[in-house]
Amino acid sequence: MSEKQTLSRRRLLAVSAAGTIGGILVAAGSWPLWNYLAFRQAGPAGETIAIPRSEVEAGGVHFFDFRGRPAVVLQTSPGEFTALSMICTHLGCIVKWQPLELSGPPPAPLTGYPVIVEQDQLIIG
Amino acid sequence: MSCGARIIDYLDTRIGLRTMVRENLTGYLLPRRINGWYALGSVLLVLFAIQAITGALLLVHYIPFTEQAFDSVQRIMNQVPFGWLVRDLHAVGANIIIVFLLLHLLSVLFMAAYKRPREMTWMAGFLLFLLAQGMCLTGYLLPWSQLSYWATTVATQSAGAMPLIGEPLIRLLGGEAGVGQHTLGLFFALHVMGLPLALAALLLLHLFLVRRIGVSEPPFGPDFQPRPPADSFRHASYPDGIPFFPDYFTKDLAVVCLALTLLMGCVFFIPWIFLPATAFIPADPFSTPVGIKPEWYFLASYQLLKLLPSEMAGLLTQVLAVLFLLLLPCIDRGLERRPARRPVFLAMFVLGILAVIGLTIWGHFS
Repeated sequence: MSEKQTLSRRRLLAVSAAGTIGGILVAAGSWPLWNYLAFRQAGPAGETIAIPRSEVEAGGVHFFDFRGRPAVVLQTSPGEFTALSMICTHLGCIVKWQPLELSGPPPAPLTGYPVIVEQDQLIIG
Repeated sequence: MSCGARIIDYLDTRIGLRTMVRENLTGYLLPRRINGWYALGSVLLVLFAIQAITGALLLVHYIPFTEQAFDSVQRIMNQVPFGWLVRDLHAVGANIIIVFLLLHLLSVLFMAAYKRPREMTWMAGFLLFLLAQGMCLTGYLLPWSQLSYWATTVATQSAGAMPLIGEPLIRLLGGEAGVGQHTLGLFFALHVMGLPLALAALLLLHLFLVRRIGVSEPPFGPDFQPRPPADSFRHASYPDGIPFFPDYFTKDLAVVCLALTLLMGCVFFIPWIFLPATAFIPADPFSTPVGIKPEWYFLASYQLLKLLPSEMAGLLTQVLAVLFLLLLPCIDRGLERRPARRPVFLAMFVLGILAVIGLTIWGHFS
């Protein structure tokens, strides 16, 4: 085996070892950093919100904050309530509410929330 | 030609990389008898960098409002992944910085490295020491705990005893209403923007002066002779010295690793020594905790304030002591640097350290 080949093999080993150690160190540093930066406080999973029924007229809408995200509740026909997230399922934009708009680019409908009518309150969530 | 060599060639033809490396690293010769105390500057640089990084990370989740500040810090500690590590590194790191600043300052004092031509380097370094304490004081309030609230109340009220500027200072820090949202906002702005900018500028000046004037020779050994000051600028050179890289750099790295071990040891095993129980209770202006005291590095000054007959006398004594140290190169102008041949200085040095340690212990137990 020539000297040149031995040296290049050594070099390959050194570069590989340095690359592996460096990669492990970068990953070990990046993972906690990513988790730290990506943390977002979410409300309790079972959290519900109460809205006075009088706030939502028949055929009208009411906007509210649901678990830190914008949402809307509609009275589609007298006594029929629907609650929806206002986060678009296409690219995550906040939907500008236009009752006449029937279609668009989203791949799926807006996320819905259950609504229970209790006397004069709408319990959402 | 390998990829690395091509990059080096590219940079060399444009910015003279090889010359720069030779002049500042491999060909930069340091005194042969240089010791580990000279590495404290590098340790402090690393510690300041850790403070800047962890401080920036804390800004992501910290909320500087009195109603939310405490909860946001608790969330960082208990809910945010690795938040406890970031916060403890920042809080404990601040204390470790003060330890190493004191060691750096004392080593420079002991070796009389503040003397001509390094007067400006000393003054910039001493101002950095004061600024770091300012950073600690302003940062202490931000968690808005009982400890931070009452320690800041004591500190701001003491500042009111200063002649002439006392009253305006109290008004600036929160007025008659005491420590509140105004104080928190002011301290937050100073801690994350005002003081770090001043500190960075002063740090650059300090480093520039260290590099421009050159490292001082340790005043030890049989062949050391104090040199008379030069009439014109002359960079300190040591033709028979050791290269900064790799020789001294390795020593630097070893001391840095030692300091990081100390920091990590405190963070992982004894973080509570810098965070007593009152640091985990939200600030309550209507409930004064028993025996509230400032941080350990302000204890000597706190005890001195209690000992002297008036607050003003205590503050003036401390202002004079700070001015004396700041202007020391202008007062102590003798050529001699060997500690054994400076008995008066050595006696003052030892007595000064003993007095500060004594006052700190007294302040802690009083």
